[in-house]
Amino acid sequence: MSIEASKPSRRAAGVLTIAVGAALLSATGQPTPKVLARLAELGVPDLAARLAVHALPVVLIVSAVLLGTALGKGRSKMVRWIIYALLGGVAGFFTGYCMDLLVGVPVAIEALNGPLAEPSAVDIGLWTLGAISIFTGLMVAALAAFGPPAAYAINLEPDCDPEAMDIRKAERAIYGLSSAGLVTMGVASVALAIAQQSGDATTLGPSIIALIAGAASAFISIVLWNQMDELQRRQVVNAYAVSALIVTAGAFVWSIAEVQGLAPAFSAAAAFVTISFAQMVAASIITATAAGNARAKKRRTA
Amino acid sequence: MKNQLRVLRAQRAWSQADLAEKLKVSRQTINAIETGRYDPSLPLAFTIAGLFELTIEAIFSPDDVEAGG
Repeated sequence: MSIEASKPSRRAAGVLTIAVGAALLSATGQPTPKVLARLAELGVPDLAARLAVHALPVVLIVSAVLLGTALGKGRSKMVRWIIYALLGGVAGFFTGYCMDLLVGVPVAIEALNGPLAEPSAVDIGLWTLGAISIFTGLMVAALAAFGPPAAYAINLEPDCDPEAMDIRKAERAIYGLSSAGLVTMGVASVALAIAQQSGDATTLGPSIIALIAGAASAFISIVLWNQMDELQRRQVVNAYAVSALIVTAGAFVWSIAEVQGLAPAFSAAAAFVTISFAQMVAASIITATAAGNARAKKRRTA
Repeated sequence: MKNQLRVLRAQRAWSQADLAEKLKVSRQTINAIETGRYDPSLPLAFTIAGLFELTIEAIFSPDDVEAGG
């Protein structure tokens, strides 16, 4: 099976997906008062200013992608991703400067659960973990639901391996389970953050949701493990081993700092966030190492 | 380990996904074996050899030895 990955129409699908994602993100936010005030000073009418600021994330993010693709052409994968990260960082900074994103989320949660306290560093970690898990889970769900078209729609790499886009039924089933595991993990993290930020009378609801979502995620992980092949299982084991080493060393150093009064006490929620992030990073690196940079290794084979 | 998997697969006009389905493993595993990033377990090596009707030594060899030689 041969699919031309670098056809302009295929790459345009990736750019279009990014644009739709940026538009959806923009729709969740509202312009910051200081930016609106600055635009008013310049004589821009309020409605035009609001529309312009809402369009800004789409323009910035798509420009970053197009510029990154142009600058990265012909360069190594590492250099390309450094360029993407730098340009993405600039686009993200200006988007964050001009807009308060996801403003409706805290309002909706407070309407359902009651007022939330200001988030601590651990709460921010839980929210970040939850957002990454849910976002990644939804991307993987698209792969499970639509297969190759979804793979092209989220791919921006000009010289990706066409074989990687050949996603079949069995693989889509695995993606479906992975997606469910990630989303339930994300819901558990967010619910735990909400429970931590809730007043004494309202912690029970989010705690129960966190418990159910966490149990569902654990169950899905067991089902997924039973369907993995030997390489996938090895990657999981390696990721857990590496993250366990890192977390153990970190906990040891932290305990000394804590005794010396240099670091605060470590809560169970903080341990959960730290271990989860360590596993996520280790799994990403180990999986990418097994899958990536195939061209360099091809010389060894055949 | 070096291997002849890509050549054998190409001779039969199979994609990585085709071979993965026949071996009941993921496409990523086939890619990792072909690119030398992963050495399969002995049971999987036997399954691969059985599928291509060759010996394991004809498909896999240490880095300093030519496969089948």
